[in-house]
Amino acid sequence: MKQKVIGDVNIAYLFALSQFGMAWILALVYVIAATGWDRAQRALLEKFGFTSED
Amino acid sequence: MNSLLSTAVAAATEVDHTALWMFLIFVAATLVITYFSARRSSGASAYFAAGRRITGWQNGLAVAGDYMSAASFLGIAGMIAMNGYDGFLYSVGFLVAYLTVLFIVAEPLRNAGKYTMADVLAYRLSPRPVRAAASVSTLTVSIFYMIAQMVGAGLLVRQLIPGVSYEVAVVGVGVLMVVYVVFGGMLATTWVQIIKAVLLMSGSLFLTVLVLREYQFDIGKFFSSLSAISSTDANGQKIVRDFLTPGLIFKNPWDQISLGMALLFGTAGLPHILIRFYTVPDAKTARSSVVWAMVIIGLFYIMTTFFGFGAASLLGPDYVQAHGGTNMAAPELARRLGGEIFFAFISAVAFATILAVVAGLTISASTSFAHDFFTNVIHHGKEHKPGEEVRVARITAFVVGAAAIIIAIVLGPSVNVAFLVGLAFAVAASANLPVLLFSIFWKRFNTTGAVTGLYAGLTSSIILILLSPDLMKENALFPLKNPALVSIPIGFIAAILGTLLSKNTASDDKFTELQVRANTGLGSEKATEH
Repeated sequence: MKQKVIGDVNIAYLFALSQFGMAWILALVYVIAATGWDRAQRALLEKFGFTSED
Repeated sequence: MNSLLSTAVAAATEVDHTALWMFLIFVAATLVITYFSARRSSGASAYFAAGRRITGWQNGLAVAGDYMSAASFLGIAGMIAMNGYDGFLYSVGFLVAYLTVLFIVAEPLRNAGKYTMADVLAYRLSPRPVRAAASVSTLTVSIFYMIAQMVGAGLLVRQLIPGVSYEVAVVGVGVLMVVYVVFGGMLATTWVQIIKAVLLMSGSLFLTVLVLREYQFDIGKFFSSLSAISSTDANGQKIVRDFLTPGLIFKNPWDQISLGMALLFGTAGLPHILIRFYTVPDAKTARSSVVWAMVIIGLFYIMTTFFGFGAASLLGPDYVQAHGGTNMAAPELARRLGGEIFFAFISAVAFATILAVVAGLTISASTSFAHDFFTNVIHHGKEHKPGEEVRVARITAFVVGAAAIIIAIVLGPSVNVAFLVGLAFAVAASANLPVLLFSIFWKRFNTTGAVTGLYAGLTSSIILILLSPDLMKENALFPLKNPALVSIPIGFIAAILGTLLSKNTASDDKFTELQVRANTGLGSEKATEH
């Protein structure tokens, strides 16, 4: 963990920083997937006669 | 350096009241907001959920404002300033916790509920016992957390504005939070939180830029300065430490894992965060508000690196220790880099931070008491008189605020309340989250399971905290500072056993209905018209 990677920045710090990137990427993946579910949901509601405003 | 210090000292005696003026400007602005919110809001949905008309980015800012407490702004900056890397690990946990909120909780909650977490639990379970238990747990989390914030506020304001005592500061913060909630309801609380988030982000950004300017904006040089920070240890010995090395605070990895679990599972069970998702028009906006919140919270916690480590290398741990201790690291850094005006600004930001959080806690406690306990448990879900629920909530906010003021004054400034924040997260993680998850996703789950899960999670967290090193010192019967590692499994197991051992079976139809509603938003609460 103390191994220096870039200049004086070590693995420990890069690991902690990578968690921020990971959280944001997973959030992005979820949002993309959920946009697909939104479409499916709208289609389903319309099929059963509910407009998306109901 | 000496001349810089003496100018700072001279300036301090001349413009002592800058911080006070900035506080007053913030207070005046929030009171104007409260006034207009009070004129606009009528009806329960307006009072409890801001009419469900808050937009995605607004709610994202408000969630961030509701969540980032003074403990994370001043506390984490101070921890990094004193001991380096390990303090930064708190920052990581606070952001990653939002994935649980985003993936599992926010959207089903918005679709299935009305004003409180218990709405979702009561949807297909027997409402009265479940709501009573959920309300007890909500009040416990909110009040413990609030007391921690109030004691912190008293200490902080006393340090930031000369001449204001601990008691005056506690009463001031308490009165303001009650005024926001009683008169302005959720709408005023939301805008106080939005303004706070904007102030906190701009203060942090400014502080970060000033720190980097000291290193000619060379990040490599900044990190190089951290590899040898000298300080004096507890025995008075001079030591030189590499502040990017892990393990300077946390010696026991199990403590670290337990704390991480409390953050990861607890955030998605914090009632004051959950009720924020009722203020938006639909589940999709709830989702986008979590994303906005994650961007803001993430950027903020990355910036803690710069002002936390900045305080370590520019001021040094010994200087921080001698000038007000850990909580004053960020304000003292601001004073060093930007003078008295900037010190006053950062102090005002810290004050706004506390107020926004305690206002959020007050409204969550009062909403739960009025909606869950008064209307649904005592009056079986019917309002006897129109507007009664809102009136009860206002009275509760007043009572809760008064109680928090009295408890904070009785405990006094010398008591260590850090464990109360840990306790709030542990209860949220061990009592609220298991039951919330099972009621959304587990078909077989029933009322007995929910009630045993809630009470087992709640009592095991409290008992383990009472036996922990924070309260029993060296004779502790339970070795971990945070009980989450043990109490979360207890909460889950109690909920499962309660379900399997009891005879009452949940209705399949109700479960299907909840699934349709949670996933499609069909039949969910709508935004109100103007």
